[in-house]
This record gives sequence, structure tokens and C-alpha cells, in this order.
Amino acid sequence: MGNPPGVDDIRGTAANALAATRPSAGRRQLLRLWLPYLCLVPAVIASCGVLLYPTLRMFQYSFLNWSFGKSYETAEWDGLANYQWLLTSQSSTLFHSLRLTLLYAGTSIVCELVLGLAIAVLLNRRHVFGRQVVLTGFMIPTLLMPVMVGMMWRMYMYPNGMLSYFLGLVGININWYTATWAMPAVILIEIWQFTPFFIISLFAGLRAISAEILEAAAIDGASGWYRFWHISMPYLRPIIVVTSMIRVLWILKSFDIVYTMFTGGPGSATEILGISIYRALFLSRNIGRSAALSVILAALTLLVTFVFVRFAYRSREVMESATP
Amino acid sequence: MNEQRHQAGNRRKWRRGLDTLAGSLVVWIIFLLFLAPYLYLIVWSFKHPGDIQAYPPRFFSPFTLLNYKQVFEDVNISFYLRNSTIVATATTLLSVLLAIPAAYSFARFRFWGQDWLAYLLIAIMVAPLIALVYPFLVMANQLGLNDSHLGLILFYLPWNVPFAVWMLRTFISDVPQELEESAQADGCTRLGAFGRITVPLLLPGFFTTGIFIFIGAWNEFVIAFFLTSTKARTLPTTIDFFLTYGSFQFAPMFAAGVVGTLPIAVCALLVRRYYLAGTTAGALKG
Repeated sequence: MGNPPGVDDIRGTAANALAATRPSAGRRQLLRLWLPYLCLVPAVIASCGVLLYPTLRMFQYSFLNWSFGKSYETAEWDGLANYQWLLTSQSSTLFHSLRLTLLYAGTSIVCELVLGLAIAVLLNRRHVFGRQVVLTGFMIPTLLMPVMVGMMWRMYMYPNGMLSYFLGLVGININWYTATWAMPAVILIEIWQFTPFFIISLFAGLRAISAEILEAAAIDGASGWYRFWHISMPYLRPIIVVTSMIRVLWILKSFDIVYTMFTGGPGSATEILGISIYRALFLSRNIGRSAALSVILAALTLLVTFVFVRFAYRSREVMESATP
Repeated sequence: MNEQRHQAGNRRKWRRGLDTLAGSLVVWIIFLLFLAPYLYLIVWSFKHPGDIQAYPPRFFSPFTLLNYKQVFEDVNISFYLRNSTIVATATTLLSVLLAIPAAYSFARFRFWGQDWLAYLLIAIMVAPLIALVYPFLVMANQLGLNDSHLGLILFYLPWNVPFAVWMLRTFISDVPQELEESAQADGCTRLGAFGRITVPLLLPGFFTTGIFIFIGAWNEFVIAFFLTSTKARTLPTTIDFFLTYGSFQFAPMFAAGVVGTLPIAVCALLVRRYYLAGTTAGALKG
């Protein structure tokens, strides 16, 4: 493909020269045709093989009226009743969960983006002491075990915890364990954990902008602010979109932190979709409803991923060139 | 004249130095603010339970290993550490091994349906874990894999194998195909060329992919929580002990938190060059 013609020529001659020592032409042809697919077999078995059956089961369960703990024989075919209940019933928390997820994703991503951009710009100044140390240190929060992060903040956010003490010093007294403040608490933790992700990817983006362009603009008399908005920002836009979409995916599927912090409570103040699935299964003991929620979550995740992949494919070169 | 210019230059140098200092200071203050909660966890884990729960916080108090002693002796955290290590290591090795041929295929061949298969891999990778917990529970019971290392490893594969394919594909593409071809021209088989030429060049790729899978499996909570009870319990699920044992226990929690997260913080240092590539692809993982 991209090879200079010389290489192809050499390959051709070499192949001819070796043809005598290789299996017959027909078998080789067949192998060449099927080799790419044969290579995929182990990976496909390991992933589809394990996942296919449970996924089909999940679909099937979503049409059943079946209580957790009862035998499979007691399950009855219920048609679309579970979905209907989720979409119409007064006590269904589906739309509440979706609203929470939207609030959760919207607020945390906007805060993370603004903070991340500001810090990335600061980091991108000409001389910063220990820049590599700072960048590596910023990677730590994003990789920590989510349940431990939840547990850690749970301890800090208790009325006699560390965070409450420091907030008290500046005159802010918040009881995080109330319906009003539980969701902001989750968002705060999220901002703490994932702003660094934005910092690192945006910093990488800023690094990749060629210094010559910025210098040329400076010589032409463009102000720092103008250079940022009209040269750096257009370049960062794809990175911002990809990073934000990754965060949307993460938040859609999040469970661990909310579970350890509040387990969905107080009441249903933090009942995001993942928690809904858990509660429908282990508290309401309704397998069908839980499975229907799972199908909805899976569909949403797939939808976002599809949009993401479409976009990421287009801007992949930007992302790859931005990797430090 | 010359003296004046010299002075102006000096002043500019001074101003630039001050600017650098101020900028670095701001960056470092923000950085330390971000790390503070984690550093607090580490520092506080070495305090006596009384000092930990003191309000207002006691910043200077005697050093003790009491919490670690409690975590290792009463809660027997080393058992869960062992389980976590077994499961995470096996998941890592298996995922990478199973992914190599597919990654090679994606990187080196053009074949019909390639893009769609790549999409399929991503679609598998994003399947939300929490959505599949109950079917997994049923499946584990049917196969007799409930509460076993094997069950956990098996259920971690569908997410990690596509991830490994995705990562390794890029690493393999980065090795020039001409190197393999010239080895083949010298009489190597395709496999031999891959093994002798490409694999040694891929070691950093294997390492990076492996570390990311290890971190993911080490941190995984949902499946481990619902599919294990006693024998195969991994570290993240021990959180539950501290939550439900009578009153909520602060002191051992600090120590357990450090034990559970420090290996990962070290991993962060090992993969920093590939952090973005790994987290971007890893983000898709359920």
C-alpha cells in the first residue's frame, strides 16, 4: 500500500524464490484468505463467548415477571409490562435517574472542563518547575480504586471529617448526608477525581500546537487572549469533545462511588441508573424490572458509544498526535 | 547608553524569573490541593484511632502501625490481597495472550468486514457491568463458578480482551511491516517473523496494556461484589466489612484504603507515557 515500489518488487521476487519450499499455491491462497479471520477466533470466543449468553438472558428476563429468590419455574411471560411500568408508573424512578444522570454529567463535565483548561494553560507556560512531576501526580486520582475513593470521601464528608473541618474554617457548614447535598457531594468527588484527566489531555493538546504559529501571531500583534481563542481553541475542540464524551460514558455506567457513598440515598436522591438496577434487583426483588432497566442502560451506552466512535474516528489523528 | 541597555535587560530577566516563580507556585498549590485528600489518607493511616477521629483534626500526633496491624491480623486483608493479585494477574496474562492474534490481524491485514468487527469489539467493551450482574450470577451458578477465582477471571475477559486488542493493534502498527517482510524473505515463516522481529519490539506495548488491565481488574468492584462471598473475595469488596460491622470503623479503613490504592499509584508512575492512550481506550470498558 504505502510502500515505495522497490519494496514490493523485492517482496515479489523473494516470494517467487521461496514458492518451491512453501505449501501448494491453492492451500496458500486459502490460508491467506482465512488467516485474518482465524486470528480473530481466540479473542472473539473470549469476549462474545462469555458475553453472548448473559446478554441474551438479560433480554429475556426483561420480559418476565419473576421475583428474586424464587425458582425460574415461577417466572411468567409478561410481554412489555416491565417497560410499560418503567415508562408510565408513578413510582418508577427511570426518569428521575435519567434526570440525575444528566445533571451529574452536565455539571461535573462543565466544571472539569473549565478547571482542566485553566490548569492546563497554567502548566503550558514556558517555565514551570517540576512540570513532569505535576503531570504524573495528576494521573494518580484518576486511576485509584473507585470504591476506595468513595470510602475516603465518605470519611472526609462526615460532620466531623476533614472536609467539613476545612469548610468550617471558611464558614461553610454543609451536611452532605441530606437529600439536597448528596448529589453535589457525588459531583464534587467526581470533579476531584477526573479534572486531572482533562488537565492531562488538554495539556497534551496545547503542547501539540506548533510554537511557530503562536509566535507568528504574536509578531503580527495578536493579543494573548486572541491567540488562545482563535488559534489554540479550534485545535483543542476535538480533544474537548472526545474527552467529554468519554466522561459521559463513564458517568452513565458509574456505580461504585455512589454505592459506597450513599447507596442511592438518602431516599432516592442519588439513585442514578446503575443504582436503580441494583435496587430493583436486591430491594424490590424484581428481576424483570431490573433487566428492563439494564436493557435501557445498555442501549443508552451503545448509543453514546456509537456517536463517540463516529467522532473519535474522525479526530483520532488529533488524539494520537496529542499523546505525550 | 550601554549601561542603560544592560540594566533594562537585567530588569526583564528579573521580571521573567518572578513570572516563572509565581506561575510555578500557583501550579504547585493547585496540584497539592488535588493530591491533599490522598496524602491525607496516607498520613492519617499512621495515626492512633483516637487521633484519627479527633475533631478538629490532629495534624501532629505520634506515629503508629496499629491500623495496619489490625487490618492484617483482624480483617486478614492479606487473604484478599492474595485473591486480588491472583485474579488481576491471571486476567492480565490471559487477556493479552488471547488478544495478540486478533491485534495482529487488525494491524497487518485488510479484510472484508474489518471495520464492523472493530465496532463489534467496542460494542462488547462498553457493555455496562452492572447491567449484566444477574445473568452472570445465574450463569456462575449453573457452571459452578460462583465464588471462585476462575469465575471472576472468566467474567473479566469480555471487557479486557477487546481492550487489549485495541491497545496492541496500535503498538503492532507502529512496528514497520517491512521488518517482518524482510525476515520472511530471509526464510522465516510469518509466525517466526512475528515472534523474532515484532514481539521483542512490542515488549513496552505488552507491558503498558498489561498494567492497564491489571489496574482495571484490581479496582473492579461490581462483579467481584456480587459473585464472590468468602473464598474468592477480592480487595475492593472488603469495603463492606467496614461499612456493616456494627458501627462504621474509621481507623482500619484508612489503612485498608492505603493498602488497596498504593499499588495502583505506583502503576501510574510506570505507565505515564501511555496514560492518555490507555485511559481513552479504557474509558470505554464497562
